[in-house]
Amino acid sequence: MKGTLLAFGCFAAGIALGLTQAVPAWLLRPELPALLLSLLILTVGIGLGAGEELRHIRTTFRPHMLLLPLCTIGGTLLFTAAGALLPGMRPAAECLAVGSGFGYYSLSSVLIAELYPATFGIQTAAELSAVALVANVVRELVALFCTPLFTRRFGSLAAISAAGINSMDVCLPRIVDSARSGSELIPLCICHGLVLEVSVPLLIRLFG
Amino acid sequence: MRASPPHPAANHTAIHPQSHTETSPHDDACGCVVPCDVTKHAVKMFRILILLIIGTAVGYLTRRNRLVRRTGHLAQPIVCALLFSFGASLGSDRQMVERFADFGGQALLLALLGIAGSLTAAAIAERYLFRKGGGR
Repeated sequence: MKGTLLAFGCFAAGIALGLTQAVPAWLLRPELPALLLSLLILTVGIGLGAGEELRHIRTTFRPHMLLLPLCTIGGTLLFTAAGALLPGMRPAAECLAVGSGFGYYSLSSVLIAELYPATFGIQTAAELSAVALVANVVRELVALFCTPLFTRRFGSLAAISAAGINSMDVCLPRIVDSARSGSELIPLCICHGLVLEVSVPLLIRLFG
Repeated sequence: MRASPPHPAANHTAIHPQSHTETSPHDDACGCVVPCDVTKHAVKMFRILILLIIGTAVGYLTRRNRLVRRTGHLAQPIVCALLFSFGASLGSDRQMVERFADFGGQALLLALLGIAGSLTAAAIAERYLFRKGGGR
């Protein structure tokens, strides 16, 4: 929660600086985000390898746990692709790319900004990246606030699914608290988050 | 390469990679088995995945190191730096600022659609797929 607000604050501060038209040239060099992104991916990987989650999953994993992340991927992509039919929306491929973030706003927006200019052009890629950032922050915040409601109305699996990638970190305590036998859900929450975490870069690459 | 504002010069090189097209048909001189272009493309395409795998392997092998366990704390400042530079390039782009209201609406709609899709798919799965074992 605090992290999300801080990240969003940095984004807003960046925009404010940009509006003054006094941005130092080095901040706008394309090498800077490319380098930072590589660093980010490396730290994500190191965190994944060194963390408890991977070992925890190795002992508690059951193959049917993979069904839930597949449902999340399928449901999200189906509905976001349908969004392209609404008036004033973006083409389906762009909607799918935004949906593929599953709430992982940092990685998805940066990946789109980095990988999409080649196919969509610089302008569209920058716009799409901004849309992905806001959409995925909104997804995280809605999941964070509405998890108890989702659990009550649609079941705890739906709450995990709606949380997307955040089912293994930010939303995990809320999911566990709101279900009746919540701690039994922890392996599923982590497996769900891990599968989505790996699928974000792959899917975004696929739609670009 | 990314969300930099459309400086005329940057646009030009992105749309007309002249030096590239002029040299590429005959640059087998390096003697690679696989044409260099293909290798470069593959590395670019899978860079993220390769970095992720390398990171995971390094993390796993060095997991006993106390410093390594703290790398998770590094992600947040990197994300903040990225978003700051990203915001700066968005904000300095006039065209982009004018269309910001449109983006907001689209983003909100896509977020809600994604959540609705997940809820639907998971609720269906819970009813038909996960019940068989008598709940877990």
